[in-house]
Amino acid sequence: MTVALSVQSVCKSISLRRESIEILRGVTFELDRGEMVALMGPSGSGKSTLLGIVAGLDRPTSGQVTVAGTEIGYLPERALASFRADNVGMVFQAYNLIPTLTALENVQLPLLVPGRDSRDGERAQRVLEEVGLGHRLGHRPAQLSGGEQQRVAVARALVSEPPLIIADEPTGNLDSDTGNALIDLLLDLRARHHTTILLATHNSAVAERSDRTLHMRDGRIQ
Amino acid sequence: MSVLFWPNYVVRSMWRGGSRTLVAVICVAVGSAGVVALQTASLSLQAALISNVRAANGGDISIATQGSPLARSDLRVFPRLEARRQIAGWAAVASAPATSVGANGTLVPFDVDIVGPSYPLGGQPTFVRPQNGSVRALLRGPRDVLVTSVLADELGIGLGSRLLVNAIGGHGLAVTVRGILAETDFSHASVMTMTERTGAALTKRPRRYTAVYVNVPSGNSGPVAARLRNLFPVATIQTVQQSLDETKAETHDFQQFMLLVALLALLTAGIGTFNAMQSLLVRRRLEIAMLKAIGFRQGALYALFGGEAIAIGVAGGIAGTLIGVLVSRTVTDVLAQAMALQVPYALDGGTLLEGVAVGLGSTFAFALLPIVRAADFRPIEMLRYGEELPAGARLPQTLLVAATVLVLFVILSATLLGDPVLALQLVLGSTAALIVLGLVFAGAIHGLGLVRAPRSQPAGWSVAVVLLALTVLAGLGRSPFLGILLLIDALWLAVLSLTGSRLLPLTVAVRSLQRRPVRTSVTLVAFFIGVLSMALSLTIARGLQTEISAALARNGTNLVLITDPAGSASASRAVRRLEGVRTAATQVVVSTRPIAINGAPLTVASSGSGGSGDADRPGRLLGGITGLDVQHGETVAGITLVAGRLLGPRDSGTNHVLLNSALRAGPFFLKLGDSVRVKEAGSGRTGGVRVVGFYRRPFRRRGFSSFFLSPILGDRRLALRLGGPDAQVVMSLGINPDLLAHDATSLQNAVPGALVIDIGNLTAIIDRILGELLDVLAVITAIALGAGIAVVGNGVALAMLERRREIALYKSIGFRPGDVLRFVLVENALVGGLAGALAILGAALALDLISHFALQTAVPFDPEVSVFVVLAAALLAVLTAYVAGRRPIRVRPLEALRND
Ligand SMILES: Nc1ncnc2c1ncn2[C@@H]1O[C@H](COP(=O)(O)OP(=O)(O)O)[C@@H](O)[C@H]1O
Ligand SMILES: [Mg+2]
Repeated sequence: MTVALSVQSVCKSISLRRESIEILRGVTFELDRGEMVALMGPSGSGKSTLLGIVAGLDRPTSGQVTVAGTEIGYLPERALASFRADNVGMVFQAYNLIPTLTALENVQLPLLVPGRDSRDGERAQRVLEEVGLGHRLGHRPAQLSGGEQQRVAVARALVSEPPLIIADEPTGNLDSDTGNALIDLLLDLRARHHTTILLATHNSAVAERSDRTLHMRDGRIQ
Repeated sequence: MSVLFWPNYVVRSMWRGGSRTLVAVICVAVGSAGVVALQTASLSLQAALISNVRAANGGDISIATQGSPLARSDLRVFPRLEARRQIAGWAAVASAPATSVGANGTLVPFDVDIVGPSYPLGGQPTFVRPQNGSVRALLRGPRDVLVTSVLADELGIGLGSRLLVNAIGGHGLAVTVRGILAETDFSHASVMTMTERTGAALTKRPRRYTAVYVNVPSGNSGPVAARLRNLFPVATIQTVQQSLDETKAETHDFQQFMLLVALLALLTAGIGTFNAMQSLLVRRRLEIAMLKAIGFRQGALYALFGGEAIAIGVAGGIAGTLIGVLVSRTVTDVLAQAMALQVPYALDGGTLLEGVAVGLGSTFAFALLPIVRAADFRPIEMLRYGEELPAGARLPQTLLVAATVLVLFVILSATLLGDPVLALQLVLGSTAALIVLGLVFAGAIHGLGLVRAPRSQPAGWSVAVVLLALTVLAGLGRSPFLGILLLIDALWLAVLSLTGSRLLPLTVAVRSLQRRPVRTSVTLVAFFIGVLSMALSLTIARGLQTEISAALARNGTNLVLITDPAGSASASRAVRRLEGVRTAATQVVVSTRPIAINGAPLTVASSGSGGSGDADRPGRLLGGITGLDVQHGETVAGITLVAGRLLGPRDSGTNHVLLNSALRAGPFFLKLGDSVRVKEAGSGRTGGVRVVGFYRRPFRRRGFSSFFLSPILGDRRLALRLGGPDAQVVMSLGINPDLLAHDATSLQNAVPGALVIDIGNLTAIIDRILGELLDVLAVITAIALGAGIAVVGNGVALAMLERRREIALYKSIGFRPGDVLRFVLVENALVGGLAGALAILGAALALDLISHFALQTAVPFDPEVSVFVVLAAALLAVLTAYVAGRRPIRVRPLEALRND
């Protein structure tokens, strides 16, 4: 088994005017390649902060984050952007699609990051078909339901075939059936692409379907 | 609840608004600064012009006879009137054309005013130097002269300078400059003033009097003016009161023009204020929803937001007034310089108050809609739509508020302009224009979205070839559509040749523009106004320059020599000695005044009312004869026969003439076969001429040398007979341009008793005046463009705020800040390019109107200006977007993406 993601003693603190808040207090865990792991914990325990750091959107105050052999905690800004483009797909609770672009164009976006070499023009369409939205290519986000929007977001996270997918409460805005369907989709994709998935959730049903569950409280993994 | 809650809330909210509050204040300030600066400048100008109006009029009554000068014998009536105590005094001014070589070696033409001992009648003119000078005291010496500031500039001379003045019928006279006079109106006159003694040394020719000034014993000059009008039907007769009224009317027009510009700036800045307020309040939707949920009433919210608007308005008004005061000095100086006027700078307390009031008023007018909208939405909508609350949710209410804003702006403009009708016209007119513009822009933005990659590359490239061909044609044909074509070309080529990540910025930009058509059109309109004034000033300046050089090129004459019959032989010899002569033609010119038509003496009924403008144009059209060598078939270039026949050999020795066809209309209604009795201005001889034809001379075909010829065309011997020694011999020469400057000065030095006029230099002078005019336009452009840029910057800042989430998302996918910035820059390049392309169209339209109504000539459209304006507008918008968008794009993705 190869280690896809390694988090070692990651701390994160934020200094507001006078006091300094410690959000993460030494988080350590590892994910193997192809594993799907759920991150659970009460609101405010630091899940989103941790996912942001793992995705290279934020920096740890101390500790190491290694993704696919690259230590990302201290990469310069430009390199970090390339890292995100090549290695991480993100799914958010609020979908966060670009409202002006169609479903297909939203999915194409990661392939259009400058410097990426992506000749395969059909890929975005294929991935959308894979998530069951082959008939919705030209629709704008506003014309899609919540579940459909989230599937577009998953397609967008997958299209560049990143080794790691980070999902922050992806089912949080969905009803339980739609949520379950989304997890089916993630599991199916994992099976086919051997992707590593780390998802934060409040839903124990979702957690049960993952390979394992990490519990977070007050900035620590228990 | 504490009494302090309200002010506290207002201050905190403004503080939290941070840069947005600042932007709102700046927009307000730009508007009031414009009003204060332009108002101060025009008030100073007005004060300067009317402060010395009696001196400017020359006396209680002025009689101007430039069109058909008076002979000495015509003046006999004045001593008689004085003896009968009908007038208290009079002074006649004779004028003669002259030239002199300036300090920089160029030949400068100007008028010499020769004044008698009673001059000036109306009090001392305004002196630039020495201060509080007096004509009599300064012209004591036998060779002393005064010059206007314009002439001093042209010659490059100052007090105490000595120079050699050439005039027809003289030998060249060395004079000393003793005083420099300020201009008294907008006419940019190059005049030298000297006494009769000095004038006698300058030229031996008979005097032609172009102005007589009269004082009346009692205060009432009306009856005397009426009597003088009877005596001098073709002269322009003006009392001090009329002169004052006219000056006031002129400066009033000017002031209104300046205020209109200020209002334009105010309107543009108002759009910015609107955007900024909108942005301030949109950001606080959640907070507003909360306040409402807690139980705040609508009225309380209006009070809270109104308080913020008042605070912003007062801050902006005060800041703007301060900036306006700083700027007004420069604006006044630029205007004074451009109009060659002596303008003492004066700050007026009322204007300062006005500045603050305008700030407050405009903020209130433009903040109204955002405030009503913000206070009015239901909290539940916030929950349903989140950040994406659809705009314009309630149309009737929006229309009502818009109508209120209009009324407010009408009131604001009416108080500024002091003219409710004009204000109403202005506001309704500009609203209509803005709506039309908005629709045009909305259409254009929609059109942008239609540009899509073609199915087949070859078809796409053929379209590109057609487009490029059209563009080249438009450029060659000087079509104003060039700008738009350029824009389409750029878009089409981009769509054709770019793929994937390179095309993405364009796609994203177009989509974002389309997403907010209203905001985009509003921003475009604001920017358009600025760019339009830039395009307009550039096209007018370039157009006039082209027109002037074309006029020069049209007839090969570039040097004119004017002398009297006695000097013509030596002048001919001197011309023959020149190296660069290519063509030469000689005509005889005399100045005349009509005294009878078909035997009936001219009466006052046939003259203008003595007002300004073109009233004495018919008189001017009979104001002189050009004597042609009809025996050898000579004619004047550029005329078209309208009726009758041209002159030929059989007219040699006769009194047959061609007249300008305008004389067929009133007041003279001349026909073929009519006879006109004219009096030669210098010799006082009279003679009759018979009309055998009417001609027209389209402005386009007039060359420069035609300025030196007279409108009645007849036989040379007729002119010589009438004028005697007073006739002028005009030689029109075409000189090799490389030798022109050299030949001009050497010819002038060889014949000091002649006037040599270098037309190439005239263009330089016109260029300079044009350049000064451009300075005025530049001030106006700067104000309009500044306001436009503020709006664009503000719009970008607002868009960044609203698209924080989107930007963060691009980043989370792996786009770099630079990539995201590129999206924003491309978007604004499109906005700028579009505004530029449409401004070119607008300028072409305006130019067409101006050419048609004001210049009576088509000012050609310059393709280079199109390219420049489109590029400059795009670049300006991009730079503004870069400044406004650089920081917000560095937003940390996690902050914006947190799902709370
Ligand atoms: N930018 C920030 N400023 C202040 N506090 C923050 C910031 N980001 C996170 N926090 C705090 O850190 C804690 C963890 O937040 P988060 O990671 O969003 O928790 P979760 O996703 O588990 O609900 C919370 O108490 C939150 O208030
Ligand atoms: Mg969270």
